[in-house]
Amino acid sequence: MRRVLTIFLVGVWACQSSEPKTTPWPEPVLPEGVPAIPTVARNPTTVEGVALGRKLFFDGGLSANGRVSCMTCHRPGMAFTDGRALSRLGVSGNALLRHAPPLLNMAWGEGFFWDGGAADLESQAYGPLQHPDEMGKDLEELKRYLAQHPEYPPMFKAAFGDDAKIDDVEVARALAQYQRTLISFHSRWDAWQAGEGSLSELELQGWEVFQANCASCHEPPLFTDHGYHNNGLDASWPAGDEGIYQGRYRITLDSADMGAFKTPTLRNVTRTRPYMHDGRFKTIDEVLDHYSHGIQPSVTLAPALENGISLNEEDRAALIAFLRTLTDQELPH
Amino acid sequence: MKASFFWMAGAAMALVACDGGDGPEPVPVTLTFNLEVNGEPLSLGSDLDYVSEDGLLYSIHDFKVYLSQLALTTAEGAYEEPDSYHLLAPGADQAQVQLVLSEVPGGVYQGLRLAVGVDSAANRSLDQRGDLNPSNQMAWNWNTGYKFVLLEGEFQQGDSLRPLVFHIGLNSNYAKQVLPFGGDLDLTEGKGVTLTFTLDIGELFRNPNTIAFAETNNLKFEPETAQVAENWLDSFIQLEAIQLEP
Repeated sequence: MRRVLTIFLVGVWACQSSEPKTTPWPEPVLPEGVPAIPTVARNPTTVEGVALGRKLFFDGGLSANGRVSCMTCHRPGMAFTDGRALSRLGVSGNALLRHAPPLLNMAWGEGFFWDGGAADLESQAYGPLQHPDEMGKDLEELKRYLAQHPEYPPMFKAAFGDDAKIDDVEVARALAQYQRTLISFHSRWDAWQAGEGSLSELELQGWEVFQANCASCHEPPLFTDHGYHNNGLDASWPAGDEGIYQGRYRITLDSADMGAFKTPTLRNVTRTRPYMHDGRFKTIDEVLDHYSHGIQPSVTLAPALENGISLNEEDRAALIAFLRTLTDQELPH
Repeated sequence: MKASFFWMAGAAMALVACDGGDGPEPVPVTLTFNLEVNGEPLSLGSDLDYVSEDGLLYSIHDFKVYLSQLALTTAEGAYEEPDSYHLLAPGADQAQVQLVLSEVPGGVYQGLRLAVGVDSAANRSLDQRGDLNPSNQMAWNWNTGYKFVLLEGEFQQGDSLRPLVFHIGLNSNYAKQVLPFGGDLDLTEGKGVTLTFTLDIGELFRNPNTIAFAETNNLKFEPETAQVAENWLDSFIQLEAIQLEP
């Protein structure tokens, strides 16, 4: 009897042994109107996975020279941007061709990089990890580094089970889990929406200006429509560097997407300067100057921008005051 | 005793549930691919061993191809290999690659169905293990998806050597093809079989579309990739021999 029972238990164990004993990441309380966090069946977010992902995110050992981490270009205090137009802080010292985007509310993202080329955060991780001008890490070296590290092996087991491999798949999944927990809904605007705070008259006027002129693309409450638009920065887009200047076109190969880039969120916009996919505008004023009289006409220009966005001095001041209310007081880290 | 019988039944069920196996013993089916270029065995390296459709000498430094959704077709349907993704990645002196379908149930089969490349479901994330893992250097990390065929080398034009780069993927280039056995292949008696194919890389550049290297020598996402994808449906993979185990 005992022997048979043992066989039975072994049978069950063989089926389930790779299931880790993890704790689901506690769902944050979301403001009204914010959709539930989309679930990722293949990579559910867990406390243990997030702890591993956070450690990986801040670890320069993930780069070829041991000094460049994800954090090098995505600093928590700057809403996970770096304050530079085109960073030279990668392992090669060469300037990158695009500006580091903020990493907040990525859990709702529908495409990653400025052109949406990465279909999910797990796939996205392979870009900066391997790019010769970013972290430049060979995946085999990465596995060796992690396997020999005193702290990582138990963390991989905790996150992905006792039989877990220390593999690039787990690295990408843990980084994705961590990024999905970077959630930002603690701005003054959120408090006002929830009836727990107030906005000044100027800020309220700015909210009106915003809704009339900006909200169709920067849709509240995430302040992005997750779409790709040509906002009139340029009128021609050279084909070099694997189409990186052509925006969404290089992904879809649809001529209607030429020069279209992802709508960034405006949450924490005071912390994410400079602006645009190449960081060409240093201040919000420069951005508003562009929308007022800098739009370059072209076939693919977003129709809403054909006549630009002209604001009088008072409305512009009000809009800027409103945008400041989108700054989160409790940024995640 | 009754209790003991209950546990035994439970144990049997648990074991069955684990390997999912039921039905007759599987038949091992070995697929052998002889890699050739214009009828000669593939030899990776820098020697200008091959002649292009427009008469230019060329070398192949690296060649890899995904085959996916392998299935053995029957009169009524097919045996479809689960999780069927295979990267054929020959080494420097390797002109033959083998893979084994180990779970084919006994039956009467009429052809091998497969596709060059990776189907759209798997092509939408790099979060994959095994042959699809990005460490195989077949994934694009800025535009999620896989190169279905990678060919890199050089060709000679006048006095100069120029790079030859074909990285061809895209969902629109994915299509299944059937290689018929020309009759019934009876695998009901449980004996294994080896199916030998040639995979002629020269056929990527002809039939029906002629690719002249002087004009077309670097293809990644260009519309012309569709011409190569049409060519790999034609005579790229051909069945040469069927050898049943005695």
